[in-house]
Amino acid sequence: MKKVGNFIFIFFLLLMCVATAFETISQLKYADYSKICLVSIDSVQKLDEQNIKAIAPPDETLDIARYDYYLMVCTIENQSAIDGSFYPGSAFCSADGNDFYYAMDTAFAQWERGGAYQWYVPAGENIQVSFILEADKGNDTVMARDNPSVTAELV
Amino acid sequence: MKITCQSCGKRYDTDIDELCPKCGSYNPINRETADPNGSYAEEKSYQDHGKYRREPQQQEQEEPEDQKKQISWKPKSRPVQQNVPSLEKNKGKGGCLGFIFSRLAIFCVVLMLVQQGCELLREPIRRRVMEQIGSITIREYEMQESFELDNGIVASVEDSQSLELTEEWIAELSQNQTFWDDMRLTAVFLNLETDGEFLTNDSGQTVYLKAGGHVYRPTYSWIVEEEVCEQYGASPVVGYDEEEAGLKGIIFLLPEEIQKEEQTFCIQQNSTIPFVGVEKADSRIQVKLQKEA
Repeated sequence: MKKVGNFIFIFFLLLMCVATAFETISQLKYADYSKICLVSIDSVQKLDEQNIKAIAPPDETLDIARYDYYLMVCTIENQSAIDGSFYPGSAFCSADGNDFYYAMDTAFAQWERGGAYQWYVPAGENIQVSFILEADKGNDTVMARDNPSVTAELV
Repeated sequence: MKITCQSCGKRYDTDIDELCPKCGSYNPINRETADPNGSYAEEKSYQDHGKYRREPQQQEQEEPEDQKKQISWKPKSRPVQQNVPSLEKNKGKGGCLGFIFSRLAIFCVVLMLVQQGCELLREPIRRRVMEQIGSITIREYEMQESFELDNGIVASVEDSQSLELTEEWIAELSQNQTFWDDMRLTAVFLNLETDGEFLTNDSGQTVYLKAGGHVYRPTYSWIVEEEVCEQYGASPVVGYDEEEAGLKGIIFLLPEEIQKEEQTFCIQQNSTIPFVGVEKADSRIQVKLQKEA
């Protein structure tokens, strides 16, 4: 009886040890090692109703009465040797940091980046990405949330 | 009188208890004293057979008063014969519970140690991974210049062509993605000089085109690829099997306005960091495509 008990004990002990080790390895495997940072933002032009409808993806909801839309270009740098992605969802905000601006893919960006809402940045590359910024009317500056030194005038 | 238990080595006072409080064994106090009365033989018998064979009433009657005092190990308030089975009974019950609790305790301690060990190892491994992914080797080549990939394939970029999209191609490409009107197709033709795996999952290679600071990934449409390649005597990249040597075509969709800008075809070669399984880029081959006339 004791032998069976010992066997079960050792079996489960080994199982748990292996599971713990695998969990650690998996955490290491899926950790985010890429170092992607926003280097610069530039406003190319303010988009009027016709322009915005021409270049915005058809499934996007536009509220021209409430927001201004700008065609922007930003430079993103991947400082690591691992392919990574930049997530524009909450990357841009107003100068005071209170309002987040929505970054919308341009229609052609779907070809360019292979997917909406995450911009593919190959290992060690310095790339430019064009996108549409939806900003509250009256705001004239955009700032990178993670790097307040990166700002642009909305013109 | 204090003695040391012969079974477990516990030191205890025989005035308090005749039996070892730890293991319940009986230990003689003084063999010379005990033996002349035959007690040693009894005690020996107990040690040998696990039972204390004695006839208390008969013996007590025979023993003189002074000897009773002298032999202090003899039971006073409780007979040994009654104690031994009860101890054994308790040992059985406690043994089972003790076994479970001891194993549970060992289980918790070992698991905690393993977890702590993993925690301690995590940071150095992470640091090591960060060291390995710190840089990427970039090799630049001209068109028609041969280069060797990490898996031994020798290749060169032979040509690149910019093509107007036909109605059929637009229809084919629009099936899966939103299509933008002002796009053109750029086909890059590579000459594979040797057989081998190219752009398969196992080869660890990825390709993209850089133009005007933007990065463009290949467009995968077998029908369009086949038709484009046919025009230039090439064949599309299979992507799942070993490629035969020859001219291979890869197509990209680029916005029209950046066609005239300088384009760079890139082949990134990846490898997996052992143990953690993180895929990192080892090197990148960059070939500047000549501007079209």
